[in-house]
Parts: sequence; C-alpha cells; structure tokens
Amino acid sequence: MTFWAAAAAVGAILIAVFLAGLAPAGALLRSRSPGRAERAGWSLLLGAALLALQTALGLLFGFAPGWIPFLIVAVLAALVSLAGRQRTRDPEPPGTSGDTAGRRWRWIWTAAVVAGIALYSLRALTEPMWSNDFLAIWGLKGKVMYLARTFPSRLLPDSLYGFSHPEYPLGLPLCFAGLASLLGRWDDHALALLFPALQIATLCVLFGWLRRREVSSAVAATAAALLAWFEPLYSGFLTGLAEVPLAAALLLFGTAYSDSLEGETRARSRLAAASLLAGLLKNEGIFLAAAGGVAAALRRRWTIAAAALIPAIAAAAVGRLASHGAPLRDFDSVFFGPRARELPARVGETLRAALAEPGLWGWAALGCLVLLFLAGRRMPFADRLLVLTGVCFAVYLVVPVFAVRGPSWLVQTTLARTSAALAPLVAAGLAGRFRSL
Amino acid sequence: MSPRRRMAVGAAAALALLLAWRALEDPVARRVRSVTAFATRELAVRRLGGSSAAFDRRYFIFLESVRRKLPPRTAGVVIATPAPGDPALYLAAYTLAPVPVALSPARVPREWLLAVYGVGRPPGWNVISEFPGGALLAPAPS
Repeated sequence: MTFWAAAAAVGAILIAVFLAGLAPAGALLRSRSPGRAERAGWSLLLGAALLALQTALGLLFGFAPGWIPFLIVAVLAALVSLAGRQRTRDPEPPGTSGDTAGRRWRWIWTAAVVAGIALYSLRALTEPMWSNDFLAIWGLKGKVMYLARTFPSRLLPDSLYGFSHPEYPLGLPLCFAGLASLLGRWDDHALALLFPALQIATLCVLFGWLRRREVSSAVAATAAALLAWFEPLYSGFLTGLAEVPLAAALLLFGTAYSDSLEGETRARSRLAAASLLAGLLKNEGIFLAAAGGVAAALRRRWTIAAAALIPAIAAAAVGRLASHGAPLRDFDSVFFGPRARELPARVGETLRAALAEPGLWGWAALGCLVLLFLAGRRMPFADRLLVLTGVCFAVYLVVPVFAVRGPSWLVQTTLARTSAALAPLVAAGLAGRFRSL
Repeated sequence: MSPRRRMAVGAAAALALLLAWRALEDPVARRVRSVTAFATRELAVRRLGGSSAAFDRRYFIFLESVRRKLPPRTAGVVIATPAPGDPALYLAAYTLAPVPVALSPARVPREWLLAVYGVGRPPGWNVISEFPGGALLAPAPS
C-alpha cells in the first residue's frame, strides 16, 4: 500500500474516531457557538480514548480489537453520555457573540494556524516515526499489542526490555494498536497522522476555551497561531512520543480545573475525564493532576480535588497492574537515605544543566513570554493555568536530582521536551490575561 | 494604543518571528521531495531511507531480512553484531516485534534463534537462511 492510500485510510479512521467522541464531548460541553471549537477538540481526544479502551478490553478479554468492538464501545459511550446530558441541565455558560474588529483579521490568523498545522504535518509525515523513544518505548509497545494481542509485560522479559520502560502508562501504545486494528495493518508512517490531528484538537480546545471565557477572537487566534508554530513541541522528533497527546490532555485538565473553580457544574466531569486521560498518557500527567488536586484541597473544594486526583490515581493503579508493578527505572530512592549527602551537589548540577538548556533562542522566547505576562492583567481564571504550569515545571526541575544516570543526563534528555508539553497551558494562561485589554 | 497593548503586540510579534525562524530553519523543500520520492515505495524502504536507519542502513536491511525469514512462533532472536549499542538494540527490538530480541548477550536463551550480522558463523549452529549482511541460525541438534 502506498503512503498516500494508507494516510487517506488513517485520515478516514480519525474522522470516525472524532465522530465517536462527539456524544461524550456533547455531554461535557455545550455546543454554543463560542465553545464549538473546544467541543470539537474534546471530541477527537475522547474518541481516541474510546479507541484505546476497546483495544485494552480486547487484550483483557481475548477478542480481536477492530471496527465492531469500537462501534459497540462508541454506541455505549453515546448512550451513557445522552443519559448524563439529560440529567445535568445547567445554565448556559457565558460567551462572546463575536467582535467585529477581530473578524477583519480572522483570515490572517486562520492562514497562520493552517500554515503551522501544514508545517507540522510535513515534519510528522516525512518518514515513518523514527525517534529512539518511539522505537524503544511507545511504538514498540503498540506494535506488540497489535501483532501479539497481549500486553507487553506478558511477552517481553523485563530483564531484557528495561529500556522500554515497562512502568510507563499504556494510553498512547493502546491508541496506536487501536488505530492499527481499524486500519488492518501496522503502518508506522501513516499512523503518524494521529499527531497533526492531536495538534488540531489542541488548537481547537485552546481557541474555543478562550472564546468561551470571553477573550477576543484576535487574542484567541493569535494564541492558537503561535502555538501551531511551536516547533519544540510539534517536531518530527516528538512525533510518535507521548508529549503531543500529553500536551493536549494537560490543556484539557487545566481549562477544566479553572472552569470548576469558577463554579461550572459540568466542568467537574470534564476535569475527571481530563485527569484520567493525563494519567493514562504519561507520569507527568499525574504530576499535574496531583498539583490541581492539592491546590483544590487547600481551598477546601473537596469535590474538585477528588475529580482532579482520583481518576489519575486510578489510571496510575491500572498502569501498575498492567506492568506487574515495574519500578521507576530512571530514579533511585537511595538519595533519600544513604546517599542523601550528595543531594546539594546534585541540585547544583541540575540547576546548571537546566540554565544551559534553553540556549539563545530559548532565552529570547522565554523573554517574550515574560513580557506578555507583564503586559496582561490579573485574571484568576487564566492565572490558575500559569500556576499549574509553574508547579509542574518546578517538579520537572526537582526530579533530575534523583536520576540514576545523573542529573545532567536527565535534564539534557528530557527537560526541554517535557516542558514543551506545557506550552498549550502557557498559551491559554497568557492569552486569558488579555481578556480586558 | 496603551503602553500595555504596545508591549503585548511587540512581544507577540517578536515571539512570532522567533517561532517562524525556528520552524523555517527546517529543510521544508527537502522534506517535500523526500515524501514525494518515497511515498509510492513499500514501508520498509521508507524506513530504510529514514532517520532511524541512518546510523547503519545495511544493518536495517539485515534486520528486515531476518524478520522476513523468521519461522512462525519463534521464541526469540539473539542478534550478534560487531557494534552493539542502544540504536542497534532499539531498531532490532522494534523491527522484530513482537518477537523478543536480545543483543549479543552472554548466553543465548533456550529455543531462541541466532541472527549474525556479518560474515562469522559460530560453531554449534545450523544456518537456516543466508541473506545480505548476515544469516539466521538455529542450534544444531546435540
């Protein structure tokens, strides 16, 4: 099969995945005009979650994942969603009817967003997914689950496959295996189309949420355009890895968290769904859920804390079961005990490596973000996202201190890309501060 | 225009320029040529021409040959290569998945096959198949 034919088939499958997510997204978000783009983004991500779910069920109960199980799961999800939608009839959320001044520029922003998506699609689809982490971790597990119809921990001996990080969550590999089961073959070139689709979903959520929060269309579209061109996240290297889907899940979590604190009833369901997605994708998702949960608990918003924390913890527990309790391989608790004396030196090494990491381009870009922060006004609904981002970044800075292969190694190999996955949260937080400007 | 607004527009414009500079540093024209040149070729050929095989393209040809010659229900494959390393291990594990793979271990597990990258053929093993870059071997009956 040529690449074009396979990519067209995967494109059609992604449309089906999007349609499968429409009903659950409709139960979580109203379809009112300002939030329509947001609902479209949620639809693709929830559809992808349903796809991963049918694959996991197939592996657990011994049936072949494919179109029929996917349709059954999608129909059941739609029925549950419709029932849920009838039960919760909350008032219409606030929204903007549209600003005429912004509309004049809309075509420019739209062109910029489309160009950003086109460039990322080109980077993602130039060749079959190729990064070491795709071959060794995410793609390897997806291929094993699709071809052997079993969980990787049941087939690949831990003693030989420690490099595949058996302790990592299986959300993305399940999604790969699910897409391959609908395609009918393992095609690691065409499957890369998932990543531009996730980029589009992220941009939709960002734009839609900002518009629903009464940010002008010009500001919302500028944020989406800048994010679409953010190559440190939307790169060929990160295509096939968990950062792009995680970035989308973190944005869902952050926006739902902020909406929950504003008192929106359905936002808690969205928060729980986003927490589950984030926890199923990467351990960093659990950090964010923990940060949100603790912050809500400190404000005595117990139901919000539960919605933020419990699904991510459940996802982590399922991951532990699926990996037979594999330990975290990159970290060692020995630095809490016998080697605690090394900690100050390791903290210093981490900070030195982190300061050297951004380079001239990175520092200039960070400078622009600081200016944008200062130019905006205090907006609690947006500032919460920046606080969550700051907490996550602080955790990413602390974690290398405990790295088995040394702080510098972990900082150099992971800090830039894990931080890049926070970009949608930063874009939403900074743009939200311009609501009244 | 208020100073805040001026600062916001300036910072956003500078950020846009930085992002555009970085995104357009990428060889866009070369990517387009690569996609159009390889799109009609089979998937393995596309990987052969890509980044994951760039460290040793003959090694990927060898792995792909091993994959095509593996008997059904193979328990595992040991790859003997003169240059073992992480890229060689990851590419072998991925290409041969779901069959378990080990790279030049001290001992070959029972019932596993041996794939030798290069010309050497260790004693005590029967050649199942020879192909460009190496051979697939099974333990000789004792």
